[in-house]
Amino acid sequence: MLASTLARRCAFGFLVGVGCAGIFPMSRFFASALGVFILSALFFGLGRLRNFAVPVCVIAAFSVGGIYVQWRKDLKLQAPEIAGITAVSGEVRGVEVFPR
Amino acid sequence: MSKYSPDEKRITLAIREPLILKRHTLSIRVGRYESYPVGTVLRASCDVARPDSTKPSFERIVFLKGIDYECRYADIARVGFSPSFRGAVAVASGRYAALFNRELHDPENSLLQAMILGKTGEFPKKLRDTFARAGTAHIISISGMHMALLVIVLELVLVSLALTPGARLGVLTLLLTSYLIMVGSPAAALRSMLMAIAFIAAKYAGRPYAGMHILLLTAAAMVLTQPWILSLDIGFQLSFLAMAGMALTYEFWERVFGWLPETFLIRGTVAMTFAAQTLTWPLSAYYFQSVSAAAPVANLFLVTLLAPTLILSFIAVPASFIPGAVPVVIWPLFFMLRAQIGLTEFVGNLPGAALSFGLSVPTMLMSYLILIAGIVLLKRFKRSTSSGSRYPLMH
Repeated sequence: MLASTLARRCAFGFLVGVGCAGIFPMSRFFASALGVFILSALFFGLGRLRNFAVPVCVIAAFSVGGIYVQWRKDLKLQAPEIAGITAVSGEVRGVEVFPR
Repeated sequence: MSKYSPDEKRITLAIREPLILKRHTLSIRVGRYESYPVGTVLRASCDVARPDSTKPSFERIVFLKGIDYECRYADIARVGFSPSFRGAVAVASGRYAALFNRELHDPENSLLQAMILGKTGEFPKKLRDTFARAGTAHIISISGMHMALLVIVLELVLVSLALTPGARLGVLTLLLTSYLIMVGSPAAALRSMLMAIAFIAAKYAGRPYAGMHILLLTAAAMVLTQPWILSLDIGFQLSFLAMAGMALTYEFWERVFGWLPETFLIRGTVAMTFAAQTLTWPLSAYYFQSVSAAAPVANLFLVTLLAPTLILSFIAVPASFIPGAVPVVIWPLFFMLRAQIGLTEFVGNLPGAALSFGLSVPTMLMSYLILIAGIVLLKRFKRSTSSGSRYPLMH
């Protein structure tokens, strides 16, 4: 049950991490990571030794989510320069019709 | 990238040349009725540019649609065709679209194409608003309900073919993936497909499965692949919250509506609609400034028509190979579509069918905090008063 609970709460932590990093700059993100750690520890019961793994994993997943989304953003902004390109060729992957 | 024009459509190109841009994607606006099937290899002479970041649609298009560049004032030439699985699926989708175009008039045709093929571009805006007022807009998109019905029917067929559980899972995954590509992989359909496969895999493996576990793991997997859906894709947000509402509050609503008869799934459908709306109404009020009050009534009638509509529409193309079989499939399909439109128009146009109010970001967040606190209290109360299953969707 502990592994199952961990997986669920880590998934939740990851989602919240991605959401927060999407909104806040990194410094505020890490500040909010600390906040989430404290809240998780309080909420899931820091006193009980068995449950201590839960807030630790939640905060780890939260941080991973935040760092991951920042990395993806940076990657997106590193697209190659296109000055002087006037022709492209490629394969049609999708067609989107706009609603009237 | 400026606002779309009703006379245009957008094609997405996977760039092959120049090599510096290989593996990037480019968007080209073309005339609405120009035909460029998936897999066609094009050469476009144009000004290649980054999408215009000063326009409000920039973020959504660049991040959500995965488009890196746009091609302005393009002069397009076809240079070949590249056969692929994606192209074959697009051909199958084209066959369905051609059959529906030939056999049905609008609005039944555009409703069916939106329901089955995810082609919502031709669906009339006025009717779309009526569906939203009636709380049945999930019918005109490929939602979890579509996928659930599809999985049930396909599983029955595969069981009747006496396939082993492993083979059934493999065939089911292949068919659902093909269908997902056919409808353009909207977030709600992808979410429900991943959940359906996870449920079935757990069932075949004899493992316990719980709605919230699978929902959260599915959402995490989707966000890992495409992080921007979390903030930019309204379909993902509504779909995720509707499922979370069902997983967390369905039992509560079923007890509240315990006085309703169970005949024709009346109690279950009403409870399911309320459960789905429990966590979606603040988001709906924030985005659309409107929340449907008539959804439980409208869904009661429409959900019963959805399964036969889906089954008939899927067998329409295979039936077209049998002489004289098309009218046998199309006529009942037409009447069911007509009934769905008629019922939605009736319910959606009733006074008070939709409550018009908007929420700001702070009030929306406050609403969610109150709802989450209520659900936590409800769970604690239930746990202290009963020794039943801790997980609502655990079977």
